[in-house]
Amino acid sequence: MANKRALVLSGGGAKGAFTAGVVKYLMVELNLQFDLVVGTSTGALIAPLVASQDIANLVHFYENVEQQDILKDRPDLLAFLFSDALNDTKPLERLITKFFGDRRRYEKLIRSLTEMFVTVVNM
Amino acid sequence: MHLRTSNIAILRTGIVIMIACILAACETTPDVGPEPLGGFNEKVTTLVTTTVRGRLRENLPKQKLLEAQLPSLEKTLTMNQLMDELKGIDPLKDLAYLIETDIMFELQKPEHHRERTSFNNPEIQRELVSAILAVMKRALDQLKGGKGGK
Repeated sequence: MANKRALVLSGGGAKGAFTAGVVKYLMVELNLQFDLVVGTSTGALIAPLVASQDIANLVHFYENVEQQDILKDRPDLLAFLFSDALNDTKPLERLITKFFGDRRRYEKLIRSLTEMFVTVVNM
Repeated sequence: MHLRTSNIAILRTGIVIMIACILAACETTPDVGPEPLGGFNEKVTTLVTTTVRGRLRENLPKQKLLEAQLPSLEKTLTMNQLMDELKGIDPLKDLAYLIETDIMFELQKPEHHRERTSFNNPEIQRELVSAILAVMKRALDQLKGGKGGK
């Protein structure tokens, strides 16, 4: 069996910015390709951009995203009583749709030779 | 009579809860966050910005050297001229090679076929040179302003 190269991306919220820098070094400067990419949490956001070799958007994402783009507080009592969480992750959902919902980007990911696995909690 | 009053109170509470639920459901999130990059120049300049910052971070002499060389770099019209000029400055030679790597990384992608075939077009070259110089300046400003991490 031929050797395969895998990249495992950890979670850690904003620490994904560091991962993005490392990934840029590995893929652009060292020209490494990966057969398999696995990501969890923030790593799950990075994984599809690695699989589709979209390193510019990976860097762009982590350089420009702010906390309000990921989640917003639910300070009101009604939300506290009727919601399942104190924070609303709708902004992250919209951001994911913006970055990965595009048909061309999705098709590029599907056609990628890099296998991808992600683990996330239910949003 | 007492039963009727309590029924009305329950009804009122129900209506208030229903209105609150409808308002919560209708709540919209403003469209925030970065837009994904699409174009070749946008993608290349994003990569180059991080490369310049990464190479010159905590290296004030190199930052000053690049800043001092910018007027002469601005006279170049093609990427070859720009890179030759940069490679001619010994401390900035590695930066020139990395910028070339960034450009090649994007250029070899299938979606940039059009840019690849017309890469030598003078207009495209001029646009790219001017975009690269603009992000060099931006990266230097960001380093001065403390952006770019330690």
